[in-house]
Parts: sequence; structure tokens; C-alpha cells
Amino acid sequence: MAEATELIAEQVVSGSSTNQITFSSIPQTHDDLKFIMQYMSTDTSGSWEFDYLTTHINGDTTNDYYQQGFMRIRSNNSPLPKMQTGFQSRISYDSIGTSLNGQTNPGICEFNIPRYSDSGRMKEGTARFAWLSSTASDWTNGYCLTAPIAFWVYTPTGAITSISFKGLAANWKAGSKFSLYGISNS
Amino acid sequence: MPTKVIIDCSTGIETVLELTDEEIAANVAAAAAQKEAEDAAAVVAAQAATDKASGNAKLKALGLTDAEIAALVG
Repeated sequence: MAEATELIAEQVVSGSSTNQITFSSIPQTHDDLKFIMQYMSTDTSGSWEFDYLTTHINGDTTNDYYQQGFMRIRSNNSPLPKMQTGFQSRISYDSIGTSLNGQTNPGICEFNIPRYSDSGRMKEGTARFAWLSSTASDWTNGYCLTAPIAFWVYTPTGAITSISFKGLAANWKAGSKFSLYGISNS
Repeated sequence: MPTKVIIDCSTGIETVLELTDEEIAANVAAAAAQKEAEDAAAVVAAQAATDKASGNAKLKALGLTDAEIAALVG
């Protein structure tokens, strides 16, 4: 099957005050959506070795609208992380490298939303993340993640027209880049 | 003041707005709740590791080999 990918919109963060990025009025003319993102957090507080990529669809922050699970192929933690699920008010995944201890390791994410314009079904999607800290203790403590794969469900059935991304604890660091692509099958 | 950037994909127009006090408060509360959940999970994980080590030691004291313990507990 032939597949065409079109860049719909892109945002590169400048400065240090951007907390949230929203792609609104997403055209309903493609079959699927894909975000490719590379990001870091401004956080240097010492409380967070990593931050959570937090996603809201159509501006919804209602608790129980979202459920997610994920697998981590490798971590040094004990017990080893395994599938986790739970209803919540957002999709979130600990994939953002912070600026703690001078770290400069960005998180990378490919976030897929198949059949986003369907107006009669719940939406399901996947996301793949990569983030490796350069801080040795992060590995020892199990915070270094290798090739995590996340699955998410957004339970309302309306078409997806808006998506927001933000960190949970701090703003986006300058240079963080968010690209939205539309995919058309034929 | 933290801001939010809204990109209108139909026009390409970007709008930058400052977060409201309510949005900032919600962010702080969400981060605090997540941190609390992480700390609680770390305590549970640490206790599980301690229990595992203690259990293994007791099984060895009964005379079981490492291979027999592994066969029992996986």
C-alpha cells in the first residue's frame, strides 16, 4: 500500500518559558497522525532526574478519559518494570531528560495516532520513547530506560482535532522540537 | 511567567498565552502527586527487595542450594 507523509506543523522552542505546546485545528484530511519529538526540560531542581511527557487530547483533562500501559525492555531497577495500566487524566510517560546535573540528553518520541478523524470510536495509539541519562546513578537507580513502548487509549469517540504536550514539572528547554505529520494511505 | 504556544494547523498562526493561575496551580499539584506516587513506589520496591533477600537467606539456612531456591521462586 502506498503511503504519503506530509508535514502539517512544526514547533521549535525558543527561550525558557514555554510550558505547553498545542497543535489545534488539525486538518481531518489524513488517515493517521504521527508526532516526532525531541525534547528536554528546563528543570534543575534536584527533585527530578526525568520529567513526564504529558499529553492531552482535545483539551480534555477529565479523569478516567485516558488509560495507558507500557513495557520497558531494559532497566536496572528491581523489581523489573512491567506493564502498568490505570485510568487517568492524561497520557504521560517519564521520557524527558531534565537539565539536572548538567545533563544534555534529550528524550525522543514517536507518537502515533491511527484513524484520528473517526467520529464514532475510541482512539488507541502507540508511542515509542528513548532517553538515556548520562548520570551513572540514574542507571543504578533504574531511571535509565531503554526502548520503552507505550500504548494508550482515549475513551471519547469524537475526532481528534487538538493535541497538547507539556512537561509535568518544568518548561520545555530551548531547542526542543515537535513535528506533526499527516499520513495518507492509498 | 510560563506560557503556552498554540499552533493553528489550518492557518499556521501561532498564539502565545501566559498560563493562568489555575493552570499553574494544576501543574504544581500534578507534579507533586506524581512525585508522591514515585516515592511510594520506591518504598514498595525497596521493601520487596529486602523481603526477597531475607527470604532467600532463610531458605539457604534450611539447606537449599541457589539452584533449588531459583527453581522454587523463579
